[in-house]
Amino acid sequence: MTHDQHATHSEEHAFGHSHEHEPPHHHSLKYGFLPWIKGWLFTTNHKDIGSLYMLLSLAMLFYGGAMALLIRLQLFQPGAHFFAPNTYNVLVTVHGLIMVFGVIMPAFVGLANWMIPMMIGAPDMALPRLNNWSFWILPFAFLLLTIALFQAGGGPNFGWTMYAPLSSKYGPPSTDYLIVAIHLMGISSVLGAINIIATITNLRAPGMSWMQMPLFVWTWFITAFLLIGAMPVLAGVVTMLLFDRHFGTSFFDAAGGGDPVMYQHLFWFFGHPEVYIMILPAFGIVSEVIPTFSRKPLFGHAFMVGAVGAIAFLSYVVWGHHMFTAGMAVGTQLYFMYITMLIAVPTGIKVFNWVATMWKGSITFETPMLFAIAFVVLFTIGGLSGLMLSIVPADYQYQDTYFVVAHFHYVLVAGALVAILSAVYYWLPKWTGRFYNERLGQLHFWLTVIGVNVTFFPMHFLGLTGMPRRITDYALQYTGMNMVCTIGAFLFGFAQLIFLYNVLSTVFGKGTRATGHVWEGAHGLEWILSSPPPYHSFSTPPSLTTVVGELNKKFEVEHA
Amino acid sequence: MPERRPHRRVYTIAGIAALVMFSFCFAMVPVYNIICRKTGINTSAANGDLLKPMSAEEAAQSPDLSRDVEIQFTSISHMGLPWDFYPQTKSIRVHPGANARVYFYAKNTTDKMMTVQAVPSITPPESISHFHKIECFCFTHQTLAGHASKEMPLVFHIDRNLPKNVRVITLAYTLFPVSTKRY
Repeated sequence: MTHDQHATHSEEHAFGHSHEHEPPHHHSLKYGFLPWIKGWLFTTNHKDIGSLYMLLSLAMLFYGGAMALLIRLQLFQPGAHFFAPNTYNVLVTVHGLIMVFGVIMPAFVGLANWMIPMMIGAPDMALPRLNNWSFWILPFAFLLLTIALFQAGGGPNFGWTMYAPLSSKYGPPSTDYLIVAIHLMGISSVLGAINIIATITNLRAPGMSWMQMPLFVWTWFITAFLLIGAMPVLAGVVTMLLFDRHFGTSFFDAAGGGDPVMYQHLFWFFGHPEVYIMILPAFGIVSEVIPTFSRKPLFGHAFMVGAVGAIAFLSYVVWGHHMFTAGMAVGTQLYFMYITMLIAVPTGIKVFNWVATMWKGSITFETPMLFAIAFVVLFTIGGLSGLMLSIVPADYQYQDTYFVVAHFHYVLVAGALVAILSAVYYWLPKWTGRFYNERLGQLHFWLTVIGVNVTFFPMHFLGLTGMPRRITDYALQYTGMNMVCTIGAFLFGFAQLIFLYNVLSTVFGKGTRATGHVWEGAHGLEWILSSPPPYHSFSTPPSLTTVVGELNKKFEVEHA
Repeated sequence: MPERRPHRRVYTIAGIAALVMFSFCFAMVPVYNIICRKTGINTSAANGDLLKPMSAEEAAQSPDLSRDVEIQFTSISHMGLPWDFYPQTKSIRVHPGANARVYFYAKNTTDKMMTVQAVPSITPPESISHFHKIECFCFTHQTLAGHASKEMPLVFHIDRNLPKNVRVITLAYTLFPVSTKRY
């Protein structure tokens, strides 16, 4: 492991080098394959598990991304030349599931594993064995999902929302694999959430009060509650699907007294908190990155925390806006419309505060900052199209068109994914002790931002002119725009290979050494450790003066 | 270790919360049914607009000869139910305030005796409370022997209070098997 020669912080030695510096045996293959595989399988170290989550997410990004490119290939021109409509439906379904449960969520959990203990001055997660289990369930879940693709009758083909009766009565046999896979993903997320809550509640370093927690920790704390509230509902609803499919129940079958619309209610009662599960940690990341590169404390820290709490609360009471056209009384529609619009208020506070943080800061534009700024701009576009969708009469027009596709890709790709890329560039020097290649990082940034907008912006127009989503073929007049989307998608997709190269080369020791502090404007407990941090950091909690001193710098409390 | 105790508290509470949310999902099944039945908020028809019997004064109304309304009939057999089931009349025009009679044809194409029931659906929603059925095969179970068929009557009345902007009403029947056995 590298010894840090550029220690800028006086106390770095106390934390960086307090332990024997042997890296664990499973970090290298030179001790043989068996110790390597056993080490990774049974590791309970939060940094190891964080890395595993991030690697799984990276692999899934290319898996789900390849499906997206196949989808765009099919839509390059009308006529459905490349594969059968059912294959297309399978691709759309599995692409969605992989991206939601395999890329965005594990990436956030991986970042939480790496950063939360270091940010709050804890030695590890509160429940390390549970942590190991939460991760190792996931590869099996995605293995099951992959096996489902090769079953007779084809893979799941009803969209990631799995609406009954498409998934119950008409679902192919592979649906059962999907249901079990969803159960595994749900168990994994709930266990991970419990672990995060326990860590944050019990393991904060002395002197770190609730309101002094970094915003990434705060957003994850609130996200964990969303996970505990929402994921079991998804588990319940897919269990009902399983029962309807095999055990003669009629939860969603009108012939037996059930109601397919109830499926939509239950699914979206999970589904709407889920979309905030996928964006709140992104808010946290951007709230860490922007102050660092603006060299100013975050504007309105308390308001940021309050806004996240308000968004999380509102996320539980707005699910009906996903199903305005499913049949609903006017009063109910009005309630869901107004309460949905209300979410724009706390979100607006957040965007305002990020901009205010940059205001009069001495900004530099390193790759993480570029991604963070792109997040603020592009997420705002996605948020505004969401506001348009919340208007009931307009939604009747937008429902199930490419406008919806444009909206959720702006918040999930240009929002969540861009924030994750920002986080990886921001913390990679801390994790590996090496800087990534800045020029490649900037190239990756520009290709990504251009690619994302070329791919998803024309979809707004496609939707407004009436192209329905989830179709394998389309009317001739949409050809031009679809070609643009496809070209953008391939640009965006292949640009991620630069990211892959940049990350891997940094991990394997290319690049200039990073100091413990890494970024000039960075403050917080994670930056007082060496880069890379020792395998066991903060095994004795940092002293009160260290914590208070560092947090005062971070939040500029009492400038005296 | 002194930290174990607060950890146990957190994971017990959080674990119970997760289980409660799992059961909440199942509890929603009866709760949803009750709420929908009491309030009607799951349909786009306003609460007062649900199907209701004809009042005496509505029955006594004379037909409104100044306008007529097209009533369309459609039918489906639920999920491969092996019955032939279709309206004898695809659509008729009636004056609001007048009665009309149409017939539906049903045939049991299996060898066994079967019991079915038709469940109606009326669009647009604002016409529901003005569409009154006087006699309908959908009120009762229908039983037919194997390969038997019959013509089933429907007598209905559109009352004069039907909003003027409603010019077409569609009545769709879905035929459900009553016996739970697989056919």
